[in-house]
Amino acid sequence: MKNEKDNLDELFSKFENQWDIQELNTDHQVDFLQKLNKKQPKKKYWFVTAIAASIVLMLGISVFYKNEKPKEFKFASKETKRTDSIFNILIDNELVKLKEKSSPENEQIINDALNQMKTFDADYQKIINELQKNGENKQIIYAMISNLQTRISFLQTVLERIEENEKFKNTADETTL
Amino acid sequence: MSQNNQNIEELITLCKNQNQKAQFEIYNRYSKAMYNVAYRIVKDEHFAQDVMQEGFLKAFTKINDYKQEVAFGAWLKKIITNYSIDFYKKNNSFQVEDLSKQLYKIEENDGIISENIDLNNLKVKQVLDTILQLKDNYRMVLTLFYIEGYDQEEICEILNISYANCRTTLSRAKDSLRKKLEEI
Repeated sequence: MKNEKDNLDELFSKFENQWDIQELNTDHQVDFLQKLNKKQPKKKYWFVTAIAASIVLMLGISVFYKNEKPKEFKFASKETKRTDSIFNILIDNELVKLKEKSSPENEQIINDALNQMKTFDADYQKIINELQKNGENKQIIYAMISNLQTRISFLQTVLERIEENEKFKNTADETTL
Repeated sequence: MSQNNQNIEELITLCKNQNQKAQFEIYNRYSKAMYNVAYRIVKDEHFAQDVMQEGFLKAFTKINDYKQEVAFGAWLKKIITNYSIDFYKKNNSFQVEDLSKQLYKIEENDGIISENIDLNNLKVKQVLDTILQLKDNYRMVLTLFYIEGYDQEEICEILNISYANCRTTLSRAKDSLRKKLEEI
């Protein structure tokens, strides 16, 4: 028995450093460069949004401190209110759809999405606060709508991703059968 | 050799600054070895390339965690290995069976049967192909142990199994491999 073991050990040590016999696809480098490039701008994009978000936050804070006298609570015009409620219904719908998809495999992506939604919500709250303080102006309305739109498209992207995963999983199962 | 090492260190520093050229250089140096690592685990050329490349990207995003305690290649290999195993588990319902709790009666007989195999005439490809035909958990353990050179404790960690289970699986995997090699 001991002999045997030595046999096998010997065999493997004989072939040490010779195991890499698979050759890579010829276009693997191009492939990788593409992946590398795709990844980089995404990062920068997040960086930029982070900066943008912090600027918005700082502006919010400075405005908050400048305007010492708080104005009366007045949540904007009818139109703004209506926009707010319509978008919120849409967002709630998407959220319900997302929660329906929850399963052990999707747990992580859904949790991540919900966390991201929380940040969006917090941003939105800031925008609303500012709106209440300074009244309506083009910039703030634009910020509000773009926040709502981002949330919806974000949720849709997440849903699409989950569906893609499911599709991929199903087809993968079929091929293994 | 030292020239080479220094270069790698410089490259890593550049990578920490997200220098794409340096990243690509590192990729070119290690891609073949890492591709083979991934291939031996996922058993598919196409997926292996994907997993390997994704593994590299992951490594580049985590490059600040690399503190030069081990060789860069080893650090990279660990990432690729873990990533490949995760991938394989996700797609193949692969699980390491807990063999340490089962009885294994034929062990002694096996040893006797395979006493006089001549392993000297085997080729790398034959051995590799034979390993690829084995049961998933045997294949994983043998690959990690003999080819990737991890010790049993590291294997336990990578596969997330107990030490006893790892030992049993390894010894059975060896038996199984010996038997198959004998048939060649």
